[in-house]
Amino acid sequence: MSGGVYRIALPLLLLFYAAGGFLTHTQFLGREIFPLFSWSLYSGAPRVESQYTARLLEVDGRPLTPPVDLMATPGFHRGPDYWLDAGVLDGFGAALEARDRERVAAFRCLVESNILLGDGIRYEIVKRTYDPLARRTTGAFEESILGTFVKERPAGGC
Amino acid sequence: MAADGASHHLSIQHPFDLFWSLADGPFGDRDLRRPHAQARALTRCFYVGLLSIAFRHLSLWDYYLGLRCIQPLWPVAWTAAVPPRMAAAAVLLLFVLGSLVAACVPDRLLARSLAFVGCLEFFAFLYSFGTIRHVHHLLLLATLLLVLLPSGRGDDDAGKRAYLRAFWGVQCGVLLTYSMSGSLKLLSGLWHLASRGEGVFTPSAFSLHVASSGFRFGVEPLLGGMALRWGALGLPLYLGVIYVELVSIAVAFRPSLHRAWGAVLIALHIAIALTLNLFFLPSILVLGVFLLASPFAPDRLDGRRAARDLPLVGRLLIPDERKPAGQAPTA
Repeated sequence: MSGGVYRIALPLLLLFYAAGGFLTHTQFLGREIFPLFSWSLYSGAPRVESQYTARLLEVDGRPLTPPVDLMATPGFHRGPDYWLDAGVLDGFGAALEARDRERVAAFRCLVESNILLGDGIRYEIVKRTYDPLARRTTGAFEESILGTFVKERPAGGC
Repeated sequence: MAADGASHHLSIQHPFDLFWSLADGPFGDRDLRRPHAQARALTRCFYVGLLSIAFRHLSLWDYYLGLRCIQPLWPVAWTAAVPPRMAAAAVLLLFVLGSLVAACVPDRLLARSLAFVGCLEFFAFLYSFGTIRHVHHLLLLATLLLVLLPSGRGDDDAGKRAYLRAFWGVQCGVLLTYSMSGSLKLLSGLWHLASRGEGVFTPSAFSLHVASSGFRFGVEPLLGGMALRWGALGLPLYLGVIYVELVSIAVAFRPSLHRAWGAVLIALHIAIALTLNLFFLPSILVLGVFLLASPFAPDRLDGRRAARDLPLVGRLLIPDERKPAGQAPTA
């Protein structure tokens, strides 16, 4: 790139990146457009947090006693990229809460195809609400079940 | 950027002349051969680092090829039309190949473009499974800005100056992201404090983040317990972090602070990893190459000069001295 063009291109690109990042900030009701990003990281500190998890109730028709909490399973967290899987569970839970059928279907497909790799799995999506500091000392949290599902079809895309 | 012996005459001819008049200090009258050679070597180092990240992902090929259901982001919309295994293999190989070619011939526009496309395609693919994470966004921005490097070996001063300007442009983009992060922490913090009496400006903010990350990721951070015991230090630390992040963009114009800012931001990422379980590994590479090893930084650390250059507070900490006769003004 020639020097003259660069003298205009760089400031314009940086301005676009900053403006795009702020405008797509999800807290301003924006929608994230990859690879733009507002870089809003740890800019809030809520006293009440929500967490979603999948609790496995049956596998191949056999009940699991006690049921298996996916987020509490060491194997789940030691996978190649547990962040992504935890994010998908979060998205599934949030879609169920919002009663957004389209997003529920999309996230259910992702969970059943990429995370729950067996067949014949009955599971429930659970929401936990808690004060992080109180939960750490007392273990206390509130729990609600957002839905129960059965994965019947073999994993193979949506 | 503060000049090292360069003098500038501000003549505004187009809208960005002011920006460049501040930035061009180090490219003025000084000998450009050494910083230019360093910048070229650092560019190659960056692509070697990128290749090592690509290779790390290649080692997880079994996981990526096992993914079935994809909801593709726009850069990988084409993956909807091919079998998932083929798409995964294609983006993995493109990422590795692009970074390898750029590491071999970083002076070639085509090679750097291939590295950027490989990086964009792979991470767009990675985030096409329901959630976008932000660990690799800085890496992606750096590979994009490096595409703008001028081609050629920079045999004359004009070529060297153009190369150094574009290299500085990457530094500027990297530091901009930290300023964006700092400014949103500041604005959100003030808003939450005023509206709900909570947020990052409350003493428990850091402890809340530490405790929360243990539950969110299901893994206790390595120093989570210690961080909670020392929770009282959270607020001053948070204020320090907001300052460092907020003024980062100004540091791009102050070469005396490049290395210090690189070190502080890397230390910040290490502290975040130890207490919040967030491992921004690619950011370490970017900060290491572009700031810690900055070709514009002075050879020897001048603590007094660096302290005086601290944005917002430097002139209060160390007032201006009388300049010796003959020394050029700083921008």
